[in-house]
Amino acid sequence: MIVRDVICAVLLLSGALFCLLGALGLVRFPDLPTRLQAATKPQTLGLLLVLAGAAVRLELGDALALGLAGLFQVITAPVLAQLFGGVAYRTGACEPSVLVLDELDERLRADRR
Amino acid sequence: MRSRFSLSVFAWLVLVWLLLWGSADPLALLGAVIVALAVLLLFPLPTRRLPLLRPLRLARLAGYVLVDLVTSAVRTSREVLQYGGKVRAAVVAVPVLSDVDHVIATSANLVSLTPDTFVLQIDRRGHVFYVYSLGVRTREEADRAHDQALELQVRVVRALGPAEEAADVHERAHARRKSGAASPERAPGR
Repeated sequence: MIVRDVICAVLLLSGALFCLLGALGLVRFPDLPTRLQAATKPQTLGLLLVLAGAAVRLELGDALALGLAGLFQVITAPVLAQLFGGVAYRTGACEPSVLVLDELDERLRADRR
Repeated sequence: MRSRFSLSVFAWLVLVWLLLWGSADPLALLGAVIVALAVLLLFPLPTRRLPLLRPLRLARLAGYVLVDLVTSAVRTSREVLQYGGKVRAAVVAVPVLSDVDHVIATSANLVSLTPDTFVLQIDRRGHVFYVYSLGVRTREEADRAHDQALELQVRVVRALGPAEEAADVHERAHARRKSGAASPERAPGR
């Protein structure tokens, strides 16, 4: 029982830590795409860890439902990131000074010529 | 529309509904069947055979993605703490190694799932992904991000792609690798 508690605590706390770091990135990063990374990505791992931590303490049926929540997160988060990222790029919400290299822009310029 | 009805998707939807309710009593089962039917009839999808041909490679892909998820979450967290407002990123063009829709979609999704990259744009005809990669400061790091996306694609194609693409994907990826020191990979093929 103690082992279970320790595993659960470690998973929950590390998950919470990643969520916190994601939130911190949201505050500190300069523009939309970088903030998007901070908001969606460490959060995904954080949520998965929290769910795993909760699943350790639950019965199998409920744990499976948590697995479902994790699965949906994993499927939907990238779609969101791609949509928002693409829109941000096209509408010029990217801070140009952030990008050290932009091969899409090079390509678009080459096409225009 | 009827021809697109897929039994495996139907079974999956029923399972999801039962898991959401957390029970399998007759009422939940009836609801599950109704909802699954409604979803399938109202939102028909281009169904295809489920790619269960290579469970071992699929499991290995899942493991790789999981490890990737953890390492890049740690890397993103370091960017947050170390650089914050002075973070840098790059948009890198990565060749697409497949010509099958569901493989490309899966690759793009997995690239976007790992915390410091997402696919900004897919040039389907030109076979290029444009990958936004966080924490890239130098040419070498851009090349590493490029190779990492290639590596992930190799695994996706080998797990889900058609046999003829899976056979030579390793060589094709290798030819396009940018950072000179090729990682000590297993022999191509198996």
